[in-house]
Amino acid sequence: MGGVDFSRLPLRVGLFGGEPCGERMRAEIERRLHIVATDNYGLTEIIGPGVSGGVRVPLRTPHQRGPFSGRSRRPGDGRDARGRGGGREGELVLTSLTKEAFPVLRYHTHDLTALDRRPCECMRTSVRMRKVRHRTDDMLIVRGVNVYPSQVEDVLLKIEGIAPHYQIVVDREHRMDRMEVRVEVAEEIFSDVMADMVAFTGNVSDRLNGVLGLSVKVTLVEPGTVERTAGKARHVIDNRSTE
Amino acid sequence: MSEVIQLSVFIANESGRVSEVTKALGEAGINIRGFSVSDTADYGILRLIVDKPAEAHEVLKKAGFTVKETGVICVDLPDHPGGLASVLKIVSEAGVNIEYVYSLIGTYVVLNVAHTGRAMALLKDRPVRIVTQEEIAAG
Repeated sequence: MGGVDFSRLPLRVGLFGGEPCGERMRAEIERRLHIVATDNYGLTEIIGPGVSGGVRVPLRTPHQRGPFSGRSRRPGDGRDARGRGGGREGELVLTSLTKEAFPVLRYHTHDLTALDRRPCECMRTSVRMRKVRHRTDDMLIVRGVNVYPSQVEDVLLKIEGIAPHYQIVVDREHRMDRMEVRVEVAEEIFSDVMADMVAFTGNVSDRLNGVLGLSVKVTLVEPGTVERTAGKARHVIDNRSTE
Repeated sequence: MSEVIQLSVFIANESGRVSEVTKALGEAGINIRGFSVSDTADYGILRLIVDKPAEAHEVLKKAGFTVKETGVICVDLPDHPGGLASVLKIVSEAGVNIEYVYSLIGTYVVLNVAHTGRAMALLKDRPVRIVTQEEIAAG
């Protein structure tokens, strides 16, 4: 973005959503764009980014807004958490009260959070929602794209010669998510010609890209080197910090 | 005329892996006659010509390596300037693609080509000698 002096633009506030945003990323956006940046939580099925969002004071306390009734429910428990989200961690379950086209009742987000009904320092009295850091299932959000490890597994199982052991590694490079799939090299796919190996990883990467809509780096590793716990492969390693 | 067996080993980009291959072969009394390594940022392919390929394959497999056998051509080059060029010219001018080439001890080179049989036929009756597996074993 050469040549643009952001300090002179009339931009004041940016509401960012679509994927979880760490505090460092948010602070960097503020510093470089000379704006107030807030992190916003939402789901496509509900409203998109906008179910809750950060406020200026203090910035890290998202407020729920809009016509929703939110309850946090303990995962695996049929009953609502006592006190309707009285600060305890649970799964966020949403009901949209006034939406007409696509109303949802008790929509289970699989996101773990805690709700706080005490008024905020900023004087707002709406429910406050803790930043989501974990889920009740194994879904990953990589560059704003929802990825289930089972999707990766489906693609790999269809490719001949790939051992059932694979590993998804997600980390952050220059503030951007990066997803790598490590595949153990079985004899069937191993070639003495490097061009064949490069073509093979390219093909796996293309097929994953086609299913996930995400560019994935495929790395070949030696058989037996994917980490196993109690005989089972550990399929996901998420090295991203949410700070 | 026969092909020579080459063993290829998948090597993860970790320190000490090549050394482990050579150690396992050494302990099993297998003599390496020549090798080449081709590598990317993440992994490498180690190609070996040994005196006892079947035994070496077994040893490496037992040590947990992914191993592949390939029939390659080993030729004894005429020992003068342009010797290698004259051999490569015969093969490539016939339209047979050379996948890779590397040298062994002395004037021996290994060729892997798209059509091994055809390349061998081309080299027959030319001023170049095809080296046999027995010669490799004998050293």
